[in-house]
Amino acid sequence: MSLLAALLAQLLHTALVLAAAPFASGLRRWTEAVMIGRHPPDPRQPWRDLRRLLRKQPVVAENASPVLTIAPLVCVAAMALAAALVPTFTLGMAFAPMSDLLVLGGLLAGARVALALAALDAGTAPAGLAAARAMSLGCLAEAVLLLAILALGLLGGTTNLDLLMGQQRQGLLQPLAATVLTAIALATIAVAEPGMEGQATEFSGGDLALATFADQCRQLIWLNLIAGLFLPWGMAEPDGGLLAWLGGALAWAAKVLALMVVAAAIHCVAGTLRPGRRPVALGIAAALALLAAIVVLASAAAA
Amino acid sequence: MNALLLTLLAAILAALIGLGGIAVAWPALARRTALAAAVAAATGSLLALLALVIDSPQAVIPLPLRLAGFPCQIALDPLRAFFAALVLAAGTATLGCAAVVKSSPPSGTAPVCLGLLGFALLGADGFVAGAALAIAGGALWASVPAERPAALPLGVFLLASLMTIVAAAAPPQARFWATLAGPGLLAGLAPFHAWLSQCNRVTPAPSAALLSGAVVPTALFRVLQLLPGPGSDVPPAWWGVVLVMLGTASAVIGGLDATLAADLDTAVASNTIRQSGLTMLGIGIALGATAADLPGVATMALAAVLLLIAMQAIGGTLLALATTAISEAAGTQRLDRLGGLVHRLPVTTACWLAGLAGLAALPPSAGFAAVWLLFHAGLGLPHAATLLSQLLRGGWIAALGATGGLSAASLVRLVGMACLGRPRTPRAAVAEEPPRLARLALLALASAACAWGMFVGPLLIRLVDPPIRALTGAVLGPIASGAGLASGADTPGYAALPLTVLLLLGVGVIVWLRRFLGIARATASGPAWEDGFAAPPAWLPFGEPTAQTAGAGFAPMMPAAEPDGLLAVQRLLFAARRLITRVTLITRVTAERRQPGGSASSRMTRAARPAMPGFAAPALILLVLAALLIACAAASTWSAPT
Repeated sequence: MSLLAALLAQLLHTALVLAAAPFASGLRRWTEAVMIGRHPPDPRQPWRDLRRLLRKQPVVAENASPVLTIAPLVCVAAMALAAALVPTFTLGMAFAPMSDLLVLGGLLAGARVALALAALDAGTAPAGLAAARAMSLGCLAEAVLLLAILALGLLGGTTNLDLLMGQQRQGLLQPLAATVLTAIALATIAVAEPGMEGQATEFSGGDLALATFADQCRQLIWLNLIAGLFLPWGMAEPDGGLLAWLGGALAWAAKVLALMVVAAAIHCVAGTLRPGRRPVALGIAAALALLAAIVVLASAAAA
Repeated sequence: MNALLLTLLAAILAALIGLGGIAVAWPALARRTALAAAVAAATGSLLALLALVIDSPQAVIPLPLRLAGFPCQIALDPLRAFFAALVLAAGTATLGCAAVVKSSPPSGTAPVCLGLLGFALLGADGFVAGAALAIAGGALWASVPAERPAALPLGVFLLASLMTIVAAAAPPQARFWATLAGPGLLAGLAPFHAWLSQCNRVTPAPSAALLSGAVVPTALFRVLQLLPGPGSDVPPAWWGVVLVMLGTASAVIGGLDATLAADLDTAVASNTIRQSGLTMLGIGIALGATAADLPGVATMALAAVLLLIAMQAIGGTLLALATTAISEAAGTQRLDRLGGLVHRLPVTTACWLAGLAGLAALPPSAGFAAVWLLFHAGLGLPHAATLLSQLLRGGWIAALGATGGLSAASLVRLVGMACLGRPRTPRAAVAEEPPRLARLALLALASAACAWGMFVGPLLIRLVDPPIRALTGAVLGPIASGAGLASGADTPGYAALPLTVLLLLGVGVIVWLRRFLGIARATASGPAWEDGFAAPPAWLPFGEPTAQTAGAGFAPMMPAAEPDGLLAVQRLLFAARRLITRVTLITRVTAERRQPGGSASSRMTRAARPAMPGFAAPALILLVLAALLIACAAASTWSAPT
């Protein structure tokens, strides 16, 4: 792919993901409401909320520091960069050499740190407690994420997301059992990873809009990651033309929708994962990821 | 060229010791000598950097003394130059801050300690290194006020110096265990790590900063000597396994302690333990990779090791100095008595954050680059191996993630509790920035920490490639490039610089967009929303102090930590002493009961106070020195056949 096309693909991809993030959040609520049998909210509602918040004047606490203003910017920048690194409709975008899984994990952690610092800034009790909870859960999530990346790295010999997705398309990530185990582990981390719950009490106006948008991006990044790594069908090749991109975008939308329906179904049947149970879920994910790594190595030894 | 630089460096180190001596003899001159020593250390650091950059072969010169049959030489090669540059740079900042600190005049022990640590690095044979380390430990001990307990740190130093001498001449097996027991202990290796936090708490500010930024790198330099040089015998693979296990344990325990610490000093010491644990892990991987004949993996692990040591020297010193600035300003180190310092100490807060972020595993920091390298070294270890070694690899990689998460949690906790929120005490509310020179030192260290993160590729090529070549004969090759790091030739890796640029660009675009769309309105301010609770009364001007989170719950729930090894030994000794006292007491009381007329109770109180004889500490030191001499003799007989 020429550099220009790669840049164009990168720009289109970033714009698509950033624009889709609030919509995906709305669609998830819509799906869940329909499954439960409630009257569903408009899927465009998160967009409207963001627009409304952006128009409002931010009010900050008297004893807040510049951290409260800078943190949402850093949080959104890290999340947007992370979203730009996870391929959706095509491989071989301009940032492909940078899209490392460890970097992705690091960017998510960086956004979490920025949000937690902002939560502690005003010195209120509930936000501080929420920040402490998020950070302590983050320690476990990061350990499990590294194990899952180890399994993927052993499968593909690299931690580069673009290369891994390309290998998955060609069916090179063998054995299949390890891939499936890693997929379940990653999905569990996606569910159990701490979000912004309770930490954004001191944000208002545009800052609250930014923090909410960052959280919506985070949810879509996990969906994109799982869809790209384990359901790589329809994704355009690095030298595909506009038509292939269009096909890739349609396939991506279908995959994300399907994943959302599955997630909503599990949510309706099994209920929300309570905060107290999250470490347990992460422990199970760790065991699965370790098992995946051992399956890879056992098959390598047998071959 | 190196011989000239070595002579100059040795002269500067001797001058540091001399300046310290002057300050000890004439305390009125202490501030000026501290400044002069800072200038001398800066010159030495630049000279060492020059030696590192010109990368000329090793030079050895003899010292004008001969003892116990040892040749007593000092040497300068790229590895020593790397360490000397770091240690002296850390010393420069420490001495500069010590010269302007308000509360107490600087003592002369810090320059002496720094000069001796320099000699411990340059020492070409075990005797010079060990003796310099022992006297440096003595200088550190002398800086501790008399009323605080400091015998344990001194003992660790003496043990480390003893083991350095033994390791330099012993056969390989003994060398490994001696290195672990001496320099490994000095670097804060679990399970004997608690002395480091105790030492950090009892020593005054400059010594604590030297402990983080100079002593620990010097100890790690000695551990690095375990790696086989070009052409020498390959060590057994289990050395690597032992180091990996101990390093992993230290990294996790250090991270956990930093997230649980009640005061800043303990948190800084725990960060040091975490950092040297990660370093040991890297050395262990390098040893294992060398044993498995994977030079590329070993080089990657070594690059991580040297990066971690550089960050320990820079970031560790920065954290220790910032701790001093905070405790000088707010009168306390306890997290539950600080708060809101960002308003009064913006520079110190920014540097404190930069130091913690530089050590944490958050891109684009140097700590993240080190974790990236360690992870990829782990990925490159042989696939076909036993199940046990695979489980070990899974274990340490999970621990790498956990300690990365813990570093982020401790960052949020230490910055959030100390610098954000509302002040928890009146003193914290009127804190003031440290003097200008101290702020300058903090800013310099903070920018160095940021530079190591952003320009990790070019810095590795310039400053880390020569030491690795000197150590193992391998070259860094494709691991480092202008943009960042890679796991091999023609493979994408971690692009530190482009990522930083993109992050900054992202922030810029959002700010511009807000302005362009006319969203950025003036911000209004109002009281913090307290979930509907009533406003605090007038006599609580900073609000209800207990209504802020005080730093609990940042670490995941863990089973209660096992007591530290050394503390357990100490407890055992206390128990034994109590037993002996009780036995003597009983025998005395029974004897007195037999003799009519003696008041048992009065004697009981006297006997119940077991006085530690005044000559115990000097006798202990004499005993250790005697052991030192015996070790020298033994070492010389060991080295005689070769």
